[in-house]
Amino acid sequence: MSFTRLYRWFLKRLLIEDAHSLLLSILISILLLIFLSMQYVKTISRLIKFLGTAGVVSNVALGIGTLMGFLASVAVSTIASGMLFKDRSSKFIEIILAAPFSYREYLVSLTLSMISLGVIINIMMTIVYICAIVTFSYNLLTVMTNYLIYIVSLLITIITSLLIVIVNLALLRIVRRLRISGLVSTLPSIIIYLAIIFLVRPFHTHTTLWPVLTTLIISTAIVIAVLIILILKLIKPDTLLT
Amino acid sequence: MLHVIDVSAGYYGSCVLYDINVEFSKGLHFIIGPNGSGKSTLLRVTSGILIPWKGDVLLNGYSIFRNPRLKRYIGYMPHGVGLLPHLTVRDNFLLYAELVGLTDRSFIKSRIQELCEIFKLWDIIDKRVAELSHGQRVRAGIARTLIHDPDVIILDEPTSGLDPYFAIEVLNLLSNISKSKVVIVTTHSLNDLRTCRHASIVLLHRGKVMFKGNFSELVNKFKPKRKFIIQFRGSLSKLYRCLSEINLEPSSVDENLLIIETDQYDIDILLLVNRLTNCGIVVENVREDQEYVMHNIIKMLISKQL
Repeated sequence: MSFTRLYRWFLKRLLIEDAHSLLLSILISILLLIFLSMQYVKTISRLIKFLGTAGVVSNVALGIGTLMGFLASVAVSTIASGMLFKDRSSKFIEIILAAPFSYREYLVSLTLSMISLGVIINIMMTIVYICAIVTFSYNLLTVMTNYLIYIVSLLITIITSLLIVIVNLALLRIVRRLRISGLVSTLPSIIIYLAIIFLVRPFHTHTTLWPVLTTLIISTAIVIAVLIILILKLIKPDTLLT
Repeated sequence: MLHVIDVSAGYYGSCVLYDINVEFSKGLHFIIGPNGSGKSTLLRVTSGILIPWKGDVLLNGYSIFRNPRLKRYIGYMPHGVGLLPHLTVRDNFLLYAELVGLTDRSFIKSRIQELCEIFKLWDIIDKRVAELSHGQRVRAGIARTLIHDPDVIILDEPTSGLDPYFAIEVLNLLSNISKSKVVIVTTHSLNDLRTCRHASIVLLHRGKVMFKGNFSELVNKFKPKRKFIIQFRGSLSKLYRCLSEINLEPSSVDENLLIIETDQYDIDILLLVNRLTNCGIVVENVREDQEYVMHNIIKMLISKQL
């Protein structure tokens, strides 16, 4: 019961507290959006010949959609790391750890609230994306089966959130006084996200997408399990207190 | 009743506390010691933040580590207060209230009002913590610690950096609270110990308990000297005569600067100033070196004179 309360408490804080990091994420996303749009403008005439107008629009929507997913993962990681940073620098972390919860409950609820926020944002983006595509020639089923990149983006958000916790806490064991800023903590999510987009892109056809996705989902599940074990086993309270 | 039983603890494999055994009953308790002696670590263990390598902390007979829910009966303020600087004092209170499990909105509201009255927070309650002075932050920090009316209150250096008048006010308040609760406070200041003579004192040095007792027992055991630094105007013969009447001897007089070292603990600054003024000496400035006594005690510990 108290775990649920702590989880809700973290989720609320993640959603309302860090406007600064959220603005940073939006700024990065806008810059990337401009960059990708320019790429699309260059190739749009070439693509129309092969895919038709609807195909191009759905591809553009896919681009925007993945970018929004990227925004989600960046936002989650910056907000989460920003919150961790502020909690540690203001010693509020000690107040949290002195509250009637176990250390394990603290870590699990913090991690889960980060993941939840990422998933919530990602689902919202998916809805926007699906609406954009359905408006044109593709039907919902085609969208769901052929453009499962969103499942990937959702998984990436989860991994990113976990990675951020790991990076923020585990590095502190090595360098005691290291403070990781929100900006630096976005780097892993940027790298992972872009790598996945470029990995999936060549296989983005009806015949090859499923095996790729299945492999990705299974490997993601393994990575998540390993990361959660790492968080719970390796990170000790003294990491947070010094 | 809070029992610290056989506790050893530290960070990153380096031990800070060694086999600590202390009992905190209702009342005010000071933990003193030099920097790095383990005061804050002991507070972190007693408040359940830091899990000890060995030993346990029992609240009314139950381990706070095996029953983390018991931590709801403990209020803790870290060194540096631990308020979130980008939030207002009220938001900090609400966030903490939610964290410690208070759900009744009307109770929280009335409790905040009550604490605002006691700690005179009305003018700062809706200000961001980043805009507050150190003294205001400490007031808000202590008030926040009390929001859930805990049985055990643990404060890390609450009087550090406060002006003497406000420090006494804080100590009197803690003294009052300690009539019905366990209050554990760390300090560097002799004034704090002298203001609350009835309080029990635990002296830590290099992670070990070197002394347990009250202020007069501490003074009797260590007999550390005090140091007064006085800026004055007037004749030296008058000054010597005046000091000898109260059995004091200047340890050095340099132009208008007088330094007195004494082991008398019934003399305070006010008495000294009155005495000198009555003898026709103009006292321009006077202060007592607070760290001096602590340094003397530590010096004695290090040189193993005791």
